[in-house]
Amino acid sequence: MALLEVKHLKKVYSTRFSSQQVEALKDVNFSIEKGEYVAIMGESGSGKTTLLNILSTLDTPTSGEVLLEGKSLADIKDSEMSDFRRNDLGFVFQDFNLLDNFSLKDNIFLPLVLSNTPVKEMEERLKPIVKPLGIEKLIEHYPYEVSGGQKQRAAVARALITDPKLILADEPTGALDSKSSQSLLETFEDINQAGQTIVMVTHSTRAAAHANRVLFIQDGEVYHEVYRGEQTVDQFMDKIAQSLMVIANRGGQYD
Amino acid sequence: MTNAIFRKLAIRNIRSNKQIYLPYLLSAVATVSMFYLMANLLNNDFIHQRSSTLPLLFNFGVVVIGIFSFIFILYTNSFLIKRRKKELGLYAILGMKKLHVVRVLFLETLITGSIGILLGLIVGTVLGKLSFLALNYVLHFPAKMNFTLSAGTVLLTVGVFAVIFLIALLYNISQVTFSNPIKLMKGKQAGEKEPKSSIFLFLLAIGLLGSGYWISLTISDPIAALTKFFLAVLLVIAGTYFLFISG
Ligand SMILES: Nc1ncnc2c1ncn2[C@@H]1O[C@H](COP(=O)(O)OP(=O)(O)O)[C@@H](O)[C@H]1O
Ligand SMILES: [Mg+2]
Repeated sequence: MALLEVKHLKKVYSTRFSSQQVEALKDVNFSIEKGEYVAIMGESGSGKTTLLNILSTLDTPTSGEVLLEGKSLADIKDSEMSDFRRNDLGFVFQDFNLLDNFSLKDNIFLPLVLSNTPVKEMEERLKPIVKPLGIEKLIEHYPYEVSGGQKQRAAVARALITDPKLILADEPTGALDSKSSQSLLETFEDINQAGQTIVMVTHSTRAAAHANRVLFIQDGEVYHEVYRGEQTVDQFMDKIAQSLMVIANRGGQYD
Repeated sequence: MTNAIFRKLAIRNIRSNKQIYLPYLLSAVATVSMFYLMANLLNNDFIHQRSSTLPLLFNFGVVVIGIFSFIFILYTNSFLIKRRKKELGLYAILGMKKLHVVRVLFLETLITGSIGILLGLIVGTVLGKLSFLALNYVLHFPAKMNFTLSAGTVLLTVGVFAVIFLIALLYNISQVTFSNPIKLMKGKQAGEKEPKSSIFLFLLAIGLLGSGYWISLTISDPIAALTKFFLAVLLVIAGTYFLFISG
């Protein structure tokens, strides 16, 4: 059984003050196995964030369904929704979303604090997570005292600390310089090797090339996918670029 | 979630948001003490004996300061909650239930409100005693004026400000619960521009505060002074506000 199944997902935004409707997702279908690292590529406005918001139960689809371990997200009771997000999902955002007035350590602890985890256990979980991320010495610092790359590492630590079934990342390298991006992407690969399932949304070919599989989304549909297999990052990048050329001929625009 | 964690979270939030909570508390203390002073004068024996119009004017003063306090605290509060939308949205995304966010906000209001009222009462009493001492010294009236403490005035002050803080809390709850986490997280970007640190505003604030306090200090004739007093109060409120947004 797939860890995550997305079936005929459709999302139409209608703005309150106009009759105009935006169809962000038309008919999205895909499934993800446990342990996979999947990148979802699409140009700006193609519905990537919308998709991720629905996967994370922050938004509901107009129609279609999402199954996690065979259980429909729509069947999760409202009262269990928060527990589900807290225990089963980890989030990494483009702009980090760390709280500036909390130290990195307190930011990382936040999901555990919300679960009322004993302090001792929080501390025990912290070390094995921050050490490989290379922010062990920085955890007493505040977000404004560290670099963008280090902030994003802290955000990754916050996502990992609850040991989630799935990590959802929305353009995680979008606000990073190329060196920090590179190192974050390597971190994601390492986390994935350790068994963590990751779904990452991106419009960067380089970022996508670090995943095991890339889904292309356009006009609200997933219409193509490529597997990395045994290819190196550079080889896979070429393959992704080729796919994008084909898409470009259909009218898309990529950088 | 247990009660202890709500308490911990509320205290942690107040501490880590001290840059915005401190001005909020200061404005609360300022308004509580002013209100308490005015309400106290209203019931002061000396003032009752001295003139029949004076209590009326103080009555008017109590109402005016009450309304000012209401507007002022609600305004600073709306500023505070706007700055915290991202934090509260993040709590929700990371898995905190709305009801739990509400409980934390309630505790934060309870703690800061209690501190604000208590400190306001203390500051008000000290100011009252001091100014009566000074007046007695300067004016040499045959009968000494006494700044008396009355349970009624304290209760009135506590009651009025408890209601004001409660309304502020309800406003905050409505802001958080009628908005989904995604909107809350974006709230800061989408909302009005936040005032930038401004030397001009800071100087304006200092000027207003200074003139406000100067007027109140140079009041000589207590009866004609009443309009001046309100001017002073207005200036101090405007000054505090500008000081608040200039930082
Ligand atoms: N809350 C919303 N209300 C109305 N339209 C929206 C909303 N969010 C996104 N959209 C629209 O849906 C489309 C997809 O947006 P989004 O999912 O943010 O794309 P991406 O993340 O790929 O850039 C865009 O046309 C966008 O304008
Ligand atoms: Mg997006």
